[in-house]
Amino acid sequence: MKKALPYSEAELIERLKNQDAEAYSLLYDNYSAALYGIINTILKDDEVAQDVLQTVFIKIWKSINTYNREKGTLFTWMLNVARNSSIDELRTKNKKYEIRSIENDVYTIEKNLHTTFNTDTLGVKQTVNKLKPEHKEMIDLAYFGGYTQDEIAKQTGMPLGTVKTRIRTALIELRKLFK
Amino acid sequence: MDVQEYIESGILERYVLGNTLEQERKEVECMSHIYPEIKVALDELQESVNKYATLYEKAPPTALKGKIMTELDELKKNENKESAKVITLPENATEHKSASNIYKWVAAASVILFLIMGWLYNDTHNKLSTSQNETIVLAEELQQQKELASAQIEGVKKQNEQLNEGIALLNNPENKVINMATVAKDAPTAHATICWNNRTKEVYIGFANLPIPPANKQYQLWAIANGKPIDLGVIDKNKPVSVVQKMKTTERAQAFAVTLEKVGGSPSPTLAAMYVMGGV
Repeated sequence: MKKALPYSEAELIERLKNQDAEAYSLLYDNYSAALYGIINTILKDDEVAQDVLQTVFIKIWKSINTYNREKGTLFTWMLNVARNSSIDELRTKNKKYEIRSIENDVYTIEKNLHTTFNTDTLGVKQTVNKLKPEHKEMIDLAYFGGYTQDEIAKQTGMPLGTVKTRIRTALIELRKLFK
Repeated sequence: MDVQEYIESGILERYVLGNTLEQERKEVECMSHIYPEIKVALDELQESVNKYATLYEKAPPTALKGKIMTELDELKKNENKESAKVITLPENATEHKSASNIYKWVAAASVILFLIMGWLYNDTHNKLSTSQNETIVLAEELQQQKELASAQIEGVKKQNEQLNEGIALLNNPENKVINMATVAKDAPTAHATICWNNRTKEVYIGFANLPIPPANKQYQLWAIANGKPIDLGVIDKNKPVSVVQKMKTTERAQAFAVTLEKVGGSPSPTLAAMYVMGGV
């Protein structure tokens, strides 16, 4: 799904810092889907997500000089920009989780605030279904929901220690999934 | 630093899930930079999260790319406009002037040129005088500040010397150090230190914190030996009490005390006006 970039990541970063238009075009081609996916999963609104995607690319353009290898890969950095922008947007608009019944976007809220983020790709469903629901819930609440572990503990009624352990286990399971 | 403990502390998980404060983020990045094991653990966790996030990939509408790229282009143009330092002069192709026009033009131009030069000369002259005056004023100010700074440095040097004296006294193994604590209700933080030389029996008081005495009063130091007070002199009002002062010598002392007496001191202490006391 990802096209191979014609240059190395190091070279791409150089070009991005030089505001090279072609580099940004390639960046968009390769990563916009991943970024848009996160944004949309968090915000659950196509129109808002598009605005945020635009904001994210502008942020990347403006702050690329603050990126360095110590912060991880370029992809990680960009994912974080996208995620943070989305969570900011979420908090500003005070959005609550909505129940929608549009064909491909079905979000269900179960009684004890289990939140499932469904997608329209079969591949995704297959992979995520291999995760135990209680583990998926932890990751989703933290990553897509922006909840702190304290907040997760409060919302789910679980002790903080249990939340911490579950998150650890969830990530271990996640790693096994992708091996 | 127990690396394994750090890895198992849960902070790495919180980092990759975006649940850390800015300070914690910097800490994790720093640790990761120093300890390869932490970097490995962090990278693995991050990779899992990235792959998970990528599962939710969704292509944005095709029209959006153009919109975004155009905006980035605009940003670039605006930046370049602001930093443009090269001013391009408009090209004036004027090759078709007749000779007379040129002379008239040159004449007009030279008049203007003279006027401009005259004005410039005047202006420059004025500016020069003004700036000369300004320079003189600045020079004077600089001199004043130098003198002020000099005085301050002298003051600091003196303070430093006094502090060093005090420290030397405290460190001198011949000196017995006695701390006097407050006995006055109205001065709860009062205290002072006595250095009493075992060999020479000299007494020094310093590092004191005492309320500023009224104009008609002065602090006096006493040694208490065999139940009787011995006058060791008054504490100089003109020096800050924190500074070390040499007092009278005493052969014997079981305790030292400071009272507030009239200026010049008293033959015997006013016990009700005792501020600090310390036993040997």
